[in-house]
Amino acid sequence: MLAALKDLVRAGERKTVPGGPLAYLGSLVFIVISLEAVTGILLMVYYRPSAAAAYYSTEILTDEVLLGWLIRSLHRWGFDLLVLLSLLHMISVYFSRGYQTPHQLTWALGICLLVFITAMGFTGTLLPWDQYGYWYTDSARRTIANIPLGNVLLALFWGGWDIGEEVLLRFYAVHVSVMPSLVLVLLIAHVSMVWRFGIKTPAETLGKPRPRPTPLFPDFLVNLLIVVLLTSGLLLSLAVFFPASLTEHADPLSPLTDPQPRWYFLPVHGLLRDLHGAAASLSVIAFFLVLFLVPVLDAKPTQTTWKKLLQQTLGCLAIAGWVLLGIRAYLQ
Amino acid sequence: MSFALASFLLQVCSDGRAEESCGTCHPNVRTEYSESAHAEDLGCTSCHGGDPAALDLESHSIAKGYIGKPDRKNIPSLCASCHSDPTRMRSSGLATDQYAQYQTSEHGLRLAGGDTRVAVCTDCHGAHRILRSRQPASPTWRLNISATCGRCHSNRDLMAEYHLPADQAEKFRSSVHGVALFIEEHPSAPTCATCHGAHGAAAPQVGSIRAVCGHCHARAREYFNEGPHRKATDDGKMSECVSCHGNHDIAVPDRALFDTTCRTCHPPDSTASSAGQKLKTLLSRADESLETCATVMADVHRVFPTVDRYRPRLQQAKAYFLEALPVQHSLALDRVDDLTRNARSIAEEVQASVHGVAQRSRLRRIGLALVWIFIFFTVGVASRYRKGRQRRQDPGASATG
Repeated sequence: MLAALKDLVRAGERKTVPGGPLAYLGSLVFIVISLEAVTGILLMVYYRPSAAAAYYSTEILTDEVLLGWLIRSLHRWGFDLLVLLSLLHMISVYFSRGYQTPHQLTWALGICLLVFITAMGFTGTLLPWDQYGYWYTDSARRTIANIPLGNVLLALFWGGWDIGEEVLLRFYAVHVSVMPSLVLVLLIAHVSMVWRFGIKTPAETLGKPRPRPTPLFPDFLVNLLIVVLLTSGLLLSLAVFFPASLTEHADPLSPLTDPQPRWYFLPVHGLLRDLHGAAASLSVIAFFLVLFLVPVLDAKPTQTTWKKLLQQTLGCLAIAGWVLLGIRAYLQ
Repeated sequence: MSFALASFLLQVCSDGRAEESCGTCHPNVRTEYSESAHAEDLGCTSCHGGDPAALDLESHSIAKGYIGKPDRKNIPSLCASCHSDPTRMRSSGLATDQYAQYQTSEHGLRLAGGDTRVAVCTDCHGAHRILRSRQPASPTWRLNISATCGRCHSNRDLMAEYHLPADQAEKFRSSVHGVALFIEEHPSAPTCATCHGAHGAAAPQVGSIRAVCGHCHARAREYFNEGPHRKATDDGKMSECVSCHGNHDIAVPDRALFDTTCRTCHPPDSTASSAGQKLKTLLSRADESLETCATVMADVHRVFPTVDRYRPRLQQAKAYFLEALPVQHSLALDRVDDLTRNARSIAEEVQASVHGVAQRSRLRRIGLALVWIFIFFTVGVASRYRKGRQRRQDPGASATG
């Protein structure tokens, strides 16, 4: 047993992790996903997915179950952090051109992961069956109905026009089963690719010498421990000072006017509301299509000055546009 | 020439009742009348008689039914000639018993006795510009009723002749009902007509006061009838609700009433007075518990919004207290005691829970502080280990640094 442990430590010392800060960001995303999975499973122990019991089970979980409030708050804030870290991870990969050969598939898998993760956030909002979740989902339903094939989407995934028991069960199934399975498969594939092909560092992109790889054990793991501890402190502070809220029980007869979506949905929400119909959905689809095609559009390893400028300007413009859309939707 | 002039004048009068020429000489009346509810289907001659087509004094010919300004004593019957006719009133949906009611009213009875200073239809509704009661400019719109009644009932000289006070309208305006009507604009707030009746206006007599107040305060009436004051009223020893609450100047019911009104009938050391004091104590203690709980909740809510979840429970306590308020009219101490005890115990339970939330949240913060101490300690140890390892791996760089 001890010998096996020693072998493992020696293997860890031999294995190096490239990529500097990017590796920590990716690892942190992986750890936060694990946190979400663990807290999600604990929540499932108490949650009852029915219109009659969902709210009360969430209330009991928050008020009466030992540390239930902490688990729920960590799940909620952990998810926000997960989306933020995933976005930062994607942005840093873009600017370091980490999507180039042989990382094209890793990049595409990463984007799919981000989409599925945010979809989990959407389905999770309804589950407490409180006023915010109910009317936010209703607002999203109306938005989806306005886009082309929106009614077909609603019929397939929603089960019709009403928000009731059926929708809650569908959202629950998607949130705890379909999406996590997809995320798990994609995550394994994504991490395997990273393990196999490594990470392209920003220094390489800038033409600087590649930084010395960090041994997995103990250097990388010690550094990661520091990052994880500080992140845990941040999450716990958010959970204590801003515990996950629970508004009134969902009431179909008392509408909330225009409930504000979560911050990561604000840009898409604003776009769909402003442009309406086909233009809005085409814009969103085009944006993600371009993201997928980035490795094809920028395939050559060498980059001329103007191409570099173009790539970085487009990246900055996309981020600025996304942020501005979000701020505008928030202010409206 | 005269034909042309006549045609012109007829054209001028063509709005409202087109054929009538009265507006030619009475333009102000015509303008007033054009806003009236009657303008749609009645003309001047409907009330005044005469010839609407004639342009000279011929139109005022008695032979053509002209009656001029109707006599005050005839006005109710004149209006009733249409308003008591179910066939004519069917389209407007108006009741046809106003005249019958009026005849039973204090106003109607005095008019029948030859007193023409009492109110007739036109005093409240106007003569030419008769607006529907739902129109805010109408003198019979609910917010204008006290002013309309006050036109006569605030006239000290006139009221003195009937031995009536002239301050009712003024008192009403500052009463709990007046505040509800004018300040809070409560849709169910009463006006003069709610208690006295509109067309059948009369002062509620002893014996019917509790029924009148009970239209709105049904629970209070129900419990009053169960209590010992019912018999006192039946024996003519008290004026029901008015004995304690007054009539036009009814104030917001206050626990101080137990200190004043009970003693107007009962000696201070009597059993009845002490029962009143007991009621006061029970209600005051429950009220104070609810107030304290609401204040504590509001204070804690600023820091811990999750205490909102106790609001429905506090509402339950308030419901018990609100139930005790009408029950007090039965003077049944045991029932009031039960209800106020429930209200108090729930309020105290909620208060304890709210304190518990505040306490738990404090504990969470202490726990968080301990976690941060642990994190900083571990990060410090890890950083130290990392630096030591860097020094061992690269002693030259470390020495230079």
